[in-house]
Amino acid sequence: MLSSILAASLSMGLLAVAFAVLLVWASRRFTVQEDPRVELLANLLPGANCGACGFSGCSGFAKAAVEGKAPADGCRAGGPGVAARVAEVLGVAAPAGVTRQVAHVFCAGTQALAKRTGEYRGLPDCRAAELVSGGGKACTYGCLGFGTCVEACPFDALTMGPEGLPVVDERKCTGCGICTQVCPRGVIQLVDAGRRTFVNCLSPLPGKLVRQVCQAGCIACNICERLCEHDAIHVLGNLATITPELCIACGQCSAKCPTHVIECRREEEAGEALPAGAGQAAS
Amino acid sequence: MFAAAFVERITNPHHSGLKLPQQKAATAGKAVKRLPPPERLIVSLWQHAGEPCSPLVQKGDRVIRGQKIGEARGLGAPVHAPICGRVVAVEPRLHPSGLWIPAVVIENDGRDSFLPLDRSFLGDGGSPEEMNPEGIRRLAREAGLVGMGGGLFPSYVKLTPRDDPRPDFLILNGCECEPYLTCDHRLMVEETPTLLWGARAMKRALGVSRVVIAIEDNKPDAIALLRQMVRGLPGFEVRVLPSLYPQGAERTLVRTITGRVVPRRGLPADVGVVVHNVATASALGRALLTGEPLLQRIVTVDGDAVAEPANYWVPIGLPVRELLKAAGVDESALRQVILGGPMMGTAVADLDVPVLKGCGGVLAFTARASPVDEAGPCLRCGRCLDACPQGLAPFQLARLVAAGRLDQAVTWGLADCVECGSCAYSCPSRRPLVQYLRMGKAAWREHPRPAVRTTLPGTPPTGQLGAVSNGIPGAQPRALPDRGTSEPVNQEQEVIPQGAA
Amino acid sequence: MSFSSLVLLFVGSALINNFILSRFLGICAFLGVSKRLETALGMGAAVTFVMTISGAVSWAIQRYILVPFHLPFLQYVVFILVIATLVQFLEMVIRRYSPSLYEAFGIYLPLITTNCAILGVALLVAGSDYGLLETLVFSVGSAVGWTLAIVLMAGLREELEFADVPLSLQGPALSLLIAAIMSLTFMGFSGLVPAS
Repeated sequence: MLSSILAASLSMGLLAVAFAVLLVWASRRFTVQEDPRVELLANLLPGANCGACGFSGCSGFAKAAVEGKAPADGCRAGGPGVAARVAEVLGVAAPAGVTRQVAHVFCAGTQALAKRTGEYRGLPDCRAAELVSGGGKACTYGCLGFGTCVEACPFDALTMGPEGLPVVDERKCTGCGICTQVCPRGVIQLVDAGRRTFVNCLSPLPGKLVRQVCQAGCIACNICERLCEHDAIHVLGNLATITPELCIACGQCSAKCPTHVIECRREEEAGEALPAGAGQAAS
Repeated sequence: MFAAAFVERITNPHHSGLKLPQQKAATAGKAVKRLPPPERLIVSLWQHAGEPCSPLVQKGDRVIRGQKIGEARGLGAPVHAPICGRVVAVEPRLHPSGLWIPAVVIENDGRDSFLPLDRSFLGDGGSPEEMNPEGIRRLAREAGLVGMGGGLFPSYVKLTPRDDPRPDFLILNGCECEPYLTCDHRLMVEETPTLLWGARAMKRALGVSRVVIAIEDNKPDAIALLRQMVRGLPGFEVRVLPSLYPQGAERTLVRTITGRVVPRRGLPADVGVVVHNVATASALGRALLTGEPLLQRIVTVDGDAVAEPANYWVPIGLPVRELLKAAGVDESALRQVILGGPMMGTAVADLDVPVLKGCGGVLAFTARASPVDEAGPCLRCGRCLDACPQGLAPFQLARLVAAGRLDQAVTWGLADCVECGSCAYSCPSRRPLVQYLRMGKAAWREHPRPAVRTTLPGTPPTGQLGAVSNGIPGAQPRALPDRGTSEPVNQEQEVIPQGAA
Repeated sequence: MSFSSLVLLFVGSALINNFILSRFLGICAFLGVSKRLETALGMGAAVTFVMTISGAVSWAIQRYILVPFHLPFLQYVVFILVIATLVQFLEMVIRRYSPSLYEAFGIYLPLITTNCAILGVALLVAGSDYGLLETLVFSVGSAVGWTLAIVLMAGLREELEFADVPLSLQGPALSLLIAAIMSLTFMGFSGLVPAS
């Protein structure tokens, strides 16, 4: 009995020591020097692996940032908050002038207001429809409304509204910009969060032609330009263009716009420049 | 039967083609009709691969027939006024591609004067064989010649022989494999002398020894006539090909006629072959003989909505609506209009788009001929594999594109797709395969269209046509029903006549 | 031990008594790491390495320690010790030489430790009267069979990624169905060797 306990303990002990020696040698021999900051950064990032930074997933960005290949504010989904914390970890100055960005749909051509010339019957994808005579919408600058951006959004921040235009949930939007890349017409663009005035049209056609295709297009009538007391809106190339830095969102131009293409949000409606990181916390 | 099919697949890995319903009987036997003088033409400044032309005229100017009204910038072809009249607008107009492209709108003033092209640089010789090759190219450029089979590639470029390899074969493409279209057929029958004159000039310009006129066997009258006419022309030959789709696709044609295989992403010129459409040759002949630039072309007007299906001589820039009216189309019954053939043509959403230089047909259908089919799931039946003339696996490419795996799709040969539409036509589930492939190709090329959107009118879109191998950007292959019904159908789009809604 | 019986042993362990598809061992990693062909191959290689060496080491321990000292009741403990050590060792090596593979394995590499397929090989060897050569052939055959199954699965799942799967079948449901069908097809291999 005793001998069998002794034999068991001894054999197990010897085997364990042998294996321990092997592992100690291996850990010396195959040691990897890894920068602990990489893991630190990987935990800071949103973790959605959206790829908007241009690296493979969040861990890829973390590695690139530590190696100095990616800027501290490279994570577009994380916004300024993440950028500041990344900068802190990396020991560089916090990037200045970074504001949270959100997607905005620059088209007001709802199903009721934009003329349709044909009925598109193919693949329900804006990128495919765009290649067939413009996809059936008479205006070739407006939203086609097949929801390619909605499907592409990794943060669930886009939904297709009842009137055939996508709606951005600015609390969920992280400004990663993937929707802007899939939109074949560039209708979705990134804007600073908290901006309150928008000209929801991209058509550079003369007013006469815009009128033919859409009731909610900018016809370059110049009324807004004349009304504005702050020199914040100008008609450039047949399209009213707002200078956000000068605009005080008084709402004058929006009220008088004959095609109601200028959107002016009241203060409480405007997506505030949410504290950084709130975007992903909410989702 | 299966054994034969198997042997065929083993011995000819590139499948020979599809048998499509021809639908040519209504127009093939009729002489080409003339239209009454048009009231107003919309001459688009973008009718070629390359950047749009710069306008040479302004609103209010008077132009005479043959006058150059748009000059090409870089690669391209100028456009000319097809009628005498007054320029009422130079502004963006809807183009068949769905883009707004600058166009010159000319109102007919009923006069009839003509400004012929300068032909002094052709040399003294009367026959094409004695002409100056450089002069022929220059005339082809000045006459605004482009590939009239739909490619719209400037012809003078394809008349410039490469140094390596030197071209030794000229193929004149008279296959016309698309259903319905008979414009090239009628042209070969009615314009044979100008066609051969142009062909001889092309032979001279390229310095090739052999010219093959390729015709499908469904055009016996054209074959007989051309056979008789080329007798006595050294190096000329008429080759009869079976009526299979896509027999007229450049790569297929080169392979069938010469046995040479055009390399992936290459051009026929890479294997010493130049392919021109017969209509282009005829237009060159006309320019050489009369000094008339490319002002008009033969267009097949057919489809079940057309009361008088026939071929018409159509001035470039005629609005499609006018052409349909002349052919007796009742717009209220109209459901769908396709520019070009049913397989590769463009479905247009607006009837005010003009006829371009490469438009061989205008097909108008009623609701009866264009039923809506829902796409079903892929059955993995493999018919698209058999149908693809490029030997690709369209179903797999479509799935890869849908999943966003473009890099993998490209290794599977996405870039070699010629968008002939055979796969979509063969698909029993009616899957819009070509649309997936086109979408993938566009994304892979980092399609420049979004950039165009933000430019201002008058600023040219860049590089859009140049990148497309076989058609204007809107050209869209689509499925034809293969369940024995008579009418090919465009699956993608229909036209709701204005005012009806 | 003739050559032909070694071949039979190999084929039998790889195909007929495939560890995943007929013994149903090592399912965890089979479902976990079969999303990408590349990682599946890597996992297969790792399992092959661990399985072969642990099979041989277990055989040696069984024959020269456990049996002579009448300690067969220590089998489980000792074999787990052997496997755990080997996995630790392998983890360090992979981390050093192929960080991307290391990242792709994630939690599944340490999980090889508790992969019942590997313990299964050790125990089956211990319970048999195999010599060293047969043990090696059996271990390698089992590992190859395991790799084959996971690679096939990964190939299928890569295809599935761009298929229109009905909502109710998406994810694990379809994976398990596929595994079941693969298992059924592998049953066909039992006809390879005539029953004697």
